[in-house]
Amino acid sequence: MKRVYGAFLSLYPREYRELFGPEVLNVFAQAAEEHRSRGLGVWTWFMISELSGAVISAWSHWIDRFSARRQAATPEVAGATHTGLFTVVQEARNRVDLNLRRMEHAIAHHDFVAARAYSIEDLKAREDLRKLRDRYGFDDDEMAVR
Amino acid sequence: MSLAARPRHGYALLKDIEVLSNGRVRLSTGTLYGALRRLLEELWIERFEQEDTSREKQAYRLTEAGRRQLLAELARMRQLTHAAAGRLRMKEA
Repeated sequence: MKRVYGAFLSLYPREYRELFGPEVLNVFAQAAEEHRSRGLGVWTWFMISELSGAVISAWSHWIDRFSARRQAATPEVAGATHTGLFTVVQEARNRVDLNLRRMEHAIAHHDFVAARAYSIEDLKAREDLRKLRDRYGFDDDEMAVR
Repeated sequence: MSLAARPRHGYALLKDIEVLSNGRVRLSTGTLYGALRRLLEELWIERFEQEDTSREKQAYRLTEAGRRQLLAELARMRQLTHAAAGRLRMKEA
């Protein structure tokens, strides 16, 4: 089975295989050995989830890689103008506020599934804002570029 | 979170995540290494070699930035549960 899983690894980008390939195979082999001793049903389910996990994960690696390239090819947001940067930052802040309001609303209505989803969106929005802050070094209150 | 107490190898991480989640989360190997790659890119964890291990068995540990991120995440979750509990109390009152 290690060979079968190894074949699935060829779906991943080359740099991933170089970095993690042998290690991933080793972890898979250990997990496979453990599940084999638990019976055929468990073993079958394990193999299905491992192989589908490998395909999905490979797909997500390619998407990440593709979007990283696109980002690199996109000109700097607002090496542009102060106004351009202001708009980008304002949009990022609005996303943070909007997600927070949605999250509070979902919690108030006991919709915890939605609250969880907004919490994830909230994290992303805050992270985007943090990256903008780090990249352009602006004062958070006054939006004054250093 | 699994790396907060001590460094671990890939398989130890899989097992620990299963224990931490009371058996509810069983990551596939591909999913685990996808997450590790992202954490490495963010510089929240780092790989290191131990003397008695080969290339097939790298260990991972939390970086200082990773520890800060974990603390921030815990604070965020605490704030969220606090807000949720507050809203529930408000509704019941």
